[in-house]
Amino acid sequence: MNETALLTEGLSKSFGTQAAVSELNLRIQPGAVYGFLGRNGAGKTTTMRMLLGLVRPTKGSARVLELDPTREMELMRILERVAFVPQRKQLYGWATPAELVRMNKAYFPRWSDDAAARLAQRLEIPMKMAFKKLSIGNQSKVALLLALAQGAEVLILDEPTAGLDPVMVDEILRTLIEDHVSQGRTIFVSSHHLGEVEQICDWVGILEEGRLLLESRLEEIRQEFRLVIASGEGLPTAQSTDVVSATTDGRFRRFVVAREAERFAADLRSQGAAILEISPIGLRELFLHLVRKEDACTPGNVGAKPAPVSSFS
Amino acid sequence: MILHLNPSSGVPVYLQLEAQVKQAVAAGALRTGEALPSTRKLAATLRINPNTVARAYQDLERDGVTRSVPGGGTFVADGLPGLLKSEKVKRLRPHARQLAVEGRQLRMTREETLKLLEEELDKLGGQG
Amino acid sequence: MYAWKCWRETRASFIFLLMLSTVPALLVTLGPGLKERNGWWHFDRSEYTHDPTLMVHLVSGMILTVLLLSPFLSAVFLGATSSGSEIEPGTIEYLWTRPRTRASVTWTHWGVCLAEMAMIAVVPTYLAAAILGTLTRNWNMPLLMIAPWIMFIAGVPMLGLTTLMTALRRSAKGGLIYTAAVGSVYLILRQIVTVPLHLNLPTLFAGPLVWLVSNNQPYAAAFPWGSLWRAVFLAAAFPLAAQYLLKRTEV
Repeated sequence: MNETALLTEGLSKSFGTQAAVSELNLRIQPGAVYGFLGRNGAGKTTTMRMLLGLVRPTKGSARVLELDPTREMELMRILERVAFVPQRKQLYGWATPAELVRMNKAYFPRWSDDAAARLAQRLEIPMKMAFKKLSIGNQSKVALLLALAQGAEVLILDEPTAGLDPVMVDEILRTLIEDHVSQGRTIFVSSHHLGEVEQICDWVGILEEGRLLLESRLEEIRQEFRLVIASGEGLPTAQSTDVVSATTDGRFRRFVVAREAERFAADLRSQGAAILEISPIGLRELFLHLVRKEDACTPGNVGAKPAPVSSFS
Repeated sequence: MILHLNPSSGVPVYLQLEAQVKQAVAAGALRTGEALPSTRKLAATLRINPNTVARAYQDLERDGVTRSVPGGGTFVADGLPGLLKSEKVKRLRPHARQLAVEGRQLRMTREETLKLLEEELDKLGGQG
Repeated sequence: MYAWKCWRETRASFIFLLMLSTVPALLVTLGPGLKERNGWWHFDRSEYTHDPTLMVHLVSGMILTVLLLSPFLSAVFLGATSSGSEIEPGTIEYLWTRPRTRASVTWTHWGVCLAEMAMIAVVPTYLAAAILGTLTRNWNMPLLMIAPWIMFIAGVPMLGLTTLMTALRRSAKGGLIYTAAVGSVYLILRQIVTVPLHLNLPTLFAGPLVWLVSNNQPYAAAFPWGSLWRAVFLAAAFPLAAQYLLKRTEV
């Protein structure tokens, strides 16, 4: 499979005057595990819905497995090969998980009974209880079960671990790695569990108010991204391709630098600044720096034209 | 083989893996010829991306700590007979630089930094 | 499997509607024979046999009267479970991400409901007819024979209308309310309009049903074909409109 798994070009969606997604450009290769991060209302769910034909873009285009979800026949082919877990994991209240599995199985020739049984056991799902009687956690697990046993090439998961206890989250991660990532399947997942995202994803994209603020390989974030804390006069306030974020914290200024932090620090020192710290930055910290609205000294730290920090190699 | 990861430590996961394998080999906990778990198995056990494990294994092989067999599988290698001294120096220098920089950042004296290094070498035991 | 799902979901309503039609039909058929004797019920077969033709005629009329509303009730309650009703509860995100076109989903549901409506029309009528025939030994019951099909045709446009309203309102409850509203407004306006304008408007699509129950000796010549064709047209037009609407719906 040489085709790009997910591609969006200038993808935009407005609801009335409210722009939910703006000029989104994504290119996700097959086999990638892409963590799509953002605050609630950032536009992650709307993006996923556009990929699956539930919502039509206002502008721009989206392609899944090089098929266009706005065309019904192509959408059908997408849906045969893509598994989706929606944010609202609502299924038919009167049906038991066993019945839901039977219903779902009929749509997908690549359905695996073994995978379904194994997953049902691992996730401790009460298969004979009506869906409406299940706890919300169990309901989520059923939705996950239906998607993960489907035999899909691409998984689009909207907050799959929301509301699950840590043991269940661990089981989901294990299943994703064992049954999906190891088979080279593509995973496009949105989550607030940044720790888990950091564990299993190769790529990360951070969305805020409909715009992609940052997109990077996780390894790069670990190896190259650095938090530089400096104090002094005349410190740069503008973003550049290397400075992803700059915030003020009292007398100090915090820069998140995407590469060559040492050189950046040296430049600052040569301007008379004192460097207090150059440290690696984890995903949670990076995320907070990018999307938090307080203390931003760059006029558009948030929501403005983002620094295009991405590598597609 | 028990490996432990600290995903939020700021150190890349693959580096943590490499470090732990190297440490195990250096301390004798992993013997020559012993097999490491497969990429997939280790990834699933640790709940991390297989690419991360693959990266670590690649680096370990490049560094001569492990070797892979045509049929598949990664095993602990026996020493580094083929590596030139200059190559070894080149490999080790960045670590030495980091130790030096960190020591300076923390305002430790040269003696204190060197003492630390000696203590760690002592802990490993084996050849002096 | 979607057809199975439609069946399973409407099963309870179906059974209820079936009972709602069958029980009154049976009561009305057996009613004339039920007499009181010695403080308890006694079934008197002779009621049926002393004038079979008249009996068939009378009882047929009663059966049809009792079943008059059933096609509309069943159409409306079944129609409210169409795919539009899944939007508000949220299961639509599951349904519309299965590899089935929205049109096939809409029409599969419609087909299942059609089958159920046919059963609800046929079972009480033919069952009552069988009992009546057995009791009177008069099997000449043309009205009862065609009645289910006329009831069925009268109901189908309502199935489509409810499907459309449910799609519009995105919920079963909204669909039911709007269908009731549209129906009521139509009937009221129709009444208001006919008198001042001295119009003799034919029934929109329920003509055959009216023909069935109103005349004592319905004449084939007086059969309201226009109404029938309108029924067929609306039976297809409403679901087509729903299909078009749902195809463009965003959730």
